[in-house]
Parts: sequence; C-alpha cells; structure tokens
Amino acid sequence: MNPKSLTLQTAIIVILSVLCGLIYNSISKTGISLVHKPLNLDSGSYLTIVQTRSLLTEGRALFIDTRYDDEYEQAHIKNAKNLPGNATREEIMKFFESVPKDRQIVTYCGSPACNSSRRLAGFLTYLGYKKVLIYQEGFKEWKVRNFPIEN
Amino acid sequence: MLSSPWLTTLFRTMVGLVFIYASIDKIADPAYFAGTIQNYQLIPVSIINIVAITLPWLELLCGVLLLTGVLHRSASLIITFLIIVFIIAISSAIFRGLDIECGCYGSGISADWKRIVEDFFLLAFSLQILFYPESKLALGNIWKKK
Repeated sequence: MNPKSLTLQTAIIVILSVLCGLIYNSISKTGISLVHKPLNLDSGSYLTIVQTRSLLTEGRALFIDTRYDDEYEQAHIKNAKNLPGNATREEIMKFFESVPKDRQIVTYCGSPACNSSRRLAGFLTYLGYKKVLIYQEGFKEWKVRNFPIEN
Repeated sequence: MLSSPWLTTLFRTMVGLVFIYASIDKIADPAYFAGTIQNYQLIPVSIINIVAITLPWLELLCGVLLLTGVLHRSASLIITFLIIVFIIAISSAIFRGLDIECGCYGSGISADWKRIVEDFFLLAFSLQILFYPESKLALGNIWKKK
C-alpha cells in the first residue's frame, strides 16, 4: 500500500470518528457541552461526582463527612473528616475554629436522601465561609464508582 | 515468524477487542471521561470536552476495523499513535506524582506503571500489524482479490 492511500484512509477514519462522536453526543441523553465550563464555585453549589473527584485530586479542599460516626468509621472518602449531622452549633464552631474562611470545603452525606450535608453547608455559609460546596449524591455513588476511600 | 499472516490476525483481534471494550464506558459517560482527562492537567480546558466526545469513537472505530480486518493497517497506524500518547500521558502523571484514574477502561483503575506495561504490549502488537498487514480471516481481503 502506498503512503498516500494510507494517509487518506487514516484521515477518513479520524473524520468519521469525530462525526460519529459529535452526532452521538448531540442525540445522547448523557451528551455534554462542546466547550468545558469551568467549575462554578459559588458557595452552596452542588458538585457532580467528576467535579468532586477533581477537587479531591487537587488536594486543596477540606472534605467533611456528615454521616454518623459509625458509618464514617466503616468507610469514607479519602482524607475526609467526620462531623456528624447531629453535632451541635458549638461543636461545629469548635471544629472550624482553625479553618480559614476562604478554604474550599466539600460536604457530603450518604445519598441525596440525607440532608445533613446541605444543612452543614448552609450553616458554614452563615458563619462566613465563602467556598462551601455540596457533593449531593454522597457516599453511596462514590462507593459504587470505586473511588478512593479509606476506613 | 513476525510476518506470519496468522500472527497479524491474532494481534488485530486482541488489540481490536481491547479498544472496543475500552471505548464503551467512555462513550456511555463522556462527562466522566472529561473529568478523567482533566485530572491529567495536560491539555487546555477548552478542548477537553471535544476530546472526551470524539476520542472514544476513534477507539471504537479503529477497534472494529482491526477486528474485522477492514482498513486495519490505517487503524493500526492511528492506534500506534494513540498508545504512544497514552504512554506519555500516564508516565507524566506518575512522574508528577498524580494519584489519578487512568481513563483506560471503566472507572477505578489508576494510572500507574502496570498500565504502561500493558500499553507497551499493545504497542508491540499494533506495530506488528502496521508493518505486516498481510492477514488471514480479514474482511478486507474479499475486495482486495477482485
């Protein structure tokens, strides 16, 4: 086979793949926007699992697990700290005493059905924390995905 | 031995199946794959989604072409290029100490040296197909003989 036809065939395969990808993406339910939108870091925003994973990889965020301590001890997101949903205001304030107000914080609980992560995020925003995000799908989804956990 | 048409058949079946398998999860969940690419911090954020949308289809198409033996030489050329890119990306992640997912197939598989070993095997198979494209049981043989 001469190099010219090899190049031509290769180009056709690449173009065909790009077209298939674009067409499928436009009709698929799981399709995404063509241009990546930067993470919306407004306090109180909900994170997708992918965004949460990115924040964990970057290592700058403080992860707070708001499930009960026995659930936390069984397994939790890597490097997450535990502050159960039944903690008092005083306990929360003591916990955050040494945490600067501009620290990136991610709260999560078990699944979208629990609301302790949202409650804590609300209270932290009230305390003046500017970058509080909620991983709403919670530990259930995280575990299914086989993402980094520790016990 | 290396030029045996049966060896080419074996290798293109293996590499084809690996690439088809690798593409399925990524096609099903491009948002997730985009996040995986982003974790490598190698390409501009603005083109991450385009790559996440199209790269899995390139893998799928090349995989199918290799498996069926249609235009498999061109497909192996693309796959050789892709594997070299993957090896560079994973090596750089290891070198920078990033503890990230590979994005090779499925979720929860980390980008470590084991992936690089796998990739070197795939690279060797792919190069064999590229340099000895003569192959048995290839659909492409049907219209070549006419």
